[in-house]
Amino acid sequence: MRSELQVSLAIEKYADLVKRICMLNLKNYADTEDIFQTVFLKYAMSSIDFENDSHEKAWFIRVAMNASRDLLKNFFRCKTVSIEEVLESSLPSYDSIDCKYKEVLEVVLNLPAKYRDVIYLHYYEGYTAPEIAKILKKNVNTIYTNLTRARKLLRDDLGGMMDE
Amino acid sequence: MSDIKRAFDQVKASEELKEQTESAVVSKMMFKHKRHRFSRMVTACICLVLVLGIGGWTYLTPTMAITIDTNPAIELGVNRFDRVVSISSDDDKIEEITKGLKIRNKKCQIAIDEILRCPIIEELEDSGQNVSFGVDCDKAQQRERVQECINECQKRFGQKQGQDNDKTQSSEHHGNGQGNGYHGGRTE
Repeated sequence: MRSELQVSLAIEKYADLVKRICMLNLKNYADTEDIFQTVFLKYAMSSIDFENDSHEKAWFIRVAMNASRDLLKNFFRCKTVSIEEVLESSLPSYDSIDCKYKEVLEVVLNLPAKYRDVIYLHYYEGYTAPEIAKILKKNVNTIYTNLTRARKLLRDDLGGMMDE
Repeated sequence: MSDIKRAFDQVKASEELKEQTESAVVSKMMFKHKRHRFSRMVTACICLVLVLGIGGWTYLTPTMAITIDTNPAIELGVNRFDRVVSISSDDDKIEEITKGLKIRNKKCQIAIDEILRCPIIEELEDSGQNVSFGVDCDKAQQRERVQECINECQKRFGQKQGQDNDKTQSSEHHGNGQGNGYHGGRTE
């Protein structure tokens, strides 16, 4: 079990990362709190010795994604709310985001889940395809394929913005 | 692509969310820590009960019966550690006396010594009554070990060593008012 100080430092360091992953997977601000607690509680209770910062970061990405998916599974079992409704409920929490970026985010969020993750990890976190494959525990070629297809979908939706 | 990066840059966790998470995680950590400590205590208690239960059963289960045939016979139940765990006799008076000797939990050699030193047994010997020993045990090693103890006791009290008898014989003797595993040994 980790100390309160370690947990506090981890929250400070990885809160934004976890929040983005929650947004990618859940598209719902209300569930973000649950995932936050789950991820950081797992961190607090784990006794893993991280080799370095990138190892720790990859661990957080993986755990946050899994926790989000677990919550989604439960979510769909308990309630039947359409994605549109969830998106609507999530919009007020992103009021602070510029209209231009909101549009970009919505396009990314509307991509299928397997494309959203690779787009985020590649274009925002700067991971290469082999690194993404390692984090997501998938074949490297699958990641390359997903990246290509996701790029094509984004190009179709965003048009000129993609080329900037 | 820089738009995607900038768009994601806009998404940040609020200070309120961080604080809420921190306090919730810390309180859950404390709760889990207490529950973990409680579950460890419960596990330790279960282990203790199991150890005591199995140990008690192992200790208190007689694996051998030593019969001191003094007419009526005294039967000592001996556990696998060669300690007396039960005393019984057909004669209430003798049973009371042997129980009064407090030989329970003593090594069988010491127990036999004390029984043979008992005045009522000495009286029986003085009056010419036979005192013989019987051993009924399935384990050869333990039987040999206890047999040696009995031999030593007999030597000390100037008695003859009894000879092993099988279970059939012993039950026959028991039917005749003699103890289990009767050896047929006789006092001089």
